[in-house]
Amino acid sequence: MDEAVLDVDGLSVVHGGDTRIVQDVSFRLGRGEILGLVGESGSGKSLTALSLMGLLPPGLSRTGTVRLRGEDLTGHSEKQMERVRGAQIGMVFQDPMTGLNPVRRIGSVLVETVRRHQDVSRAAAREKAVEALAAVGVPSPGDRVRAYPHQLSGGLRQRVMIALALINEPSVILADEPTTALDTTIQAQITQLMRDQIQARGASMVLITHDLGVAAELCDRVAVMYSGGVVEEGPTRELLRNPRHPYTAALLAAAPNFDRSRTLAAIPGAPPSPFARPDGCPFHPRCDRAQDACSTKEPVLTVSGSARLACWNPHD
Amino acid sequence: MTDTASAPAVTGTPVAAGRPARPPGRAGRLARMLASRLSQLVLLLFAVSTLLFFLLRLTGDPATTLAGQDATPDQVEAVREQYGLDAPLAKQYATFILRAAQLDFGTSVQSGANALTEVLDRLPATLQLALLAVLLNMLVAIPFGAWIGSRSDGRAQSIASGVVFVGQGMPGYVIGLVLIQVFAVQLGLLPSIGNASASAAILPAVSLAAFLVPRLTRVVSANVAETMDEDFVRTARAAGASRHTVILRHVLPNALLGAAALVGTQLAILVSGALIIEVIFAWPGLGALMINSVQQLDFPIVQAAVFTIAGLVFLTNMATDALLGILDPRLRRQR
Repeated sequence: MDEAVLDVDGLSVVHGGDTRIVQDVSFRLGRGEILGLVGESGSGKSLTALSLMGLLPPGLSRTGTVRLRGEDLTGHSEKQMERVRGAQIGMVFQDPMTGLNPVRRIGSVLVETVRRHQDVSRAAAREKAVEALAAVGVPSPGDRVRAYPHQLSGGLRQRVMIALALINEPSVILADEPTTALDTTIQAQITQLMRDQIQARGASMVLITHDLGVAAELCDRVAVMYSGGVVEEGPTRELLRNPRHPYTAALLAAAPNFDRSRTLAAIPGAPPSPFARPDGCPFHPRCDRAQDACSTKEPVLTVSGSARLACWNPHD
Repeated sequence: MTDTASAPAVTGTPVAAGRPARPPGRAGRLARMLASRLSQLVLLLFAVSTLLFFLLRLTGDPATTLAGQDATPDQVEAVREQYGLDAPLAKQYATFILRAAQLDFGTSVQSGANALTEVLDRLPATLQLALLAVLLNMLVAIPFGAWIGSRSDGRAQSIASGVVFVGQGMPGYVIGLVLIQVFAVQLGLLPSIGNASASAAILPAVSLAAFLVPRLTRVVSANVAETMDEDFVRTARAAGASRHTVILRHVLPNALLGAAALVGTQLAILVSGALIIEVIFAWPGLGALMINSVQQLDFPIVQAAVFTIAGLVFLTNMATDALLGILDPRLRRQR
């Protein structure tokens, strides 16, 4: 395997010194690759992304190794991380309604971001801002740079958020549920836009979503997270056609599709709190394939071919 | 950090593209708004004047007081007649309101000068002190509050925030007296009386500001702390913004919008005359004039002063509203 753009090894997010909210997440993101992080809310997807950015909320800390294009970010100070954020890793957040500063013109924030990382004149930065808005499909970008967020629709605001994340050409984009807060028709547009932009720029992306449909459409590989850890990972097509982990299978069975003859199979119970994880496999209390071993020994993520799996009794 | 590109929107043209044509009757709406505000003002002034008229007459027989302690009954009667105090109350009231409507409050009992002129003469001194104090207040409280709020869990910030809380309970005149003792009496650096020299404004303005600073600091720091948790701040940090930029250009413009109303209120309180501070520093403003006139039962002056103050407070509040409407792009009318 050639050099990964982003190499995450043994990443945990720790609360109060001992509770691991995200535990031991490892993945490699190749150049131009889109990796999906899929799971229910509370599975640790967003915290994984925030920890990569060095933007964890107060009280949480990160352990493990993060390498970005070979550069180890582990020991980076806040000042050093500021230079990485927006320049080498960009992030798109879920809610475009609250994610943009209500009293700043969008162009002003775009210009500020360009000049933070590039030594260019204000006029040049402004040109880049207009170009960036045009690239993400904002109509009449020359006028829109002077707009305030409240003058734009939700879809347009999310396009602005994407422009903001992309404007300094980072090699990695973290997208945290970028379409969840949008109308269905807009969702498809934004999904396509993100794929096109990633491809056009040769960037890589980690896409966090609970929507398997979005993952299927966009991602080269998918990692399924449960209770803070990755339980299964593999090439998207393979993983969705032939899920081996019972949790992945259950997620697929619970996802709506156009086949009305099939009733949705809800997963019984709720994910455990990181403060009260069961012994053994964290999924075993909800698992229909649980055996004795599942409640005593935690399965380890094991590589098999191009996939990885953590389960004592997987589907074939 | 050299980027000062577009400071948070004080001026500027709104987006023209894609806007529908302006709705009809915008000028009409503005005129209606002004008319409504104006009628509110008239109503307010009427109510204040009425209240004042009766309050002043509840406190005893004005003629007796005006004539002085040693006056004979004849002299008292003469005074009563001179000021029209012998007429029935209703008639006195009608006369008063009719005259007040023409801004005629009579002449000062003490000086014989036109009461309103006397009041308006004092206005510049009060406005000068009020503006100076509010400005000083903002210069101290905004950076201080931003510092506390930007790291509200920090140790130094917690201590500072405790000091501010205690300071809020400190009456302004205590600070004034301490300042006089130190800077005027012991060090002899600054004048403590009157407004003859420019430096004379320093001590009273600092005293007033010291009284205002704790409250504004608390509001600014609370707003800053709250804004620090907003999604758009995380967006800015994810784009690589430095802490400095985050606080100055993302957090403060939002936090200050919330504090602007308080500054407006503080200014409104001060333009009505800083009663105690003006007396302590013998500052020839409205406050000192009012205290003196109340003591001397100089009705015309008191009435003219209260009338003026009510109008001033109203105008200050209206100006604050208007300013907020300009500063906050979400409230700005689409032009």
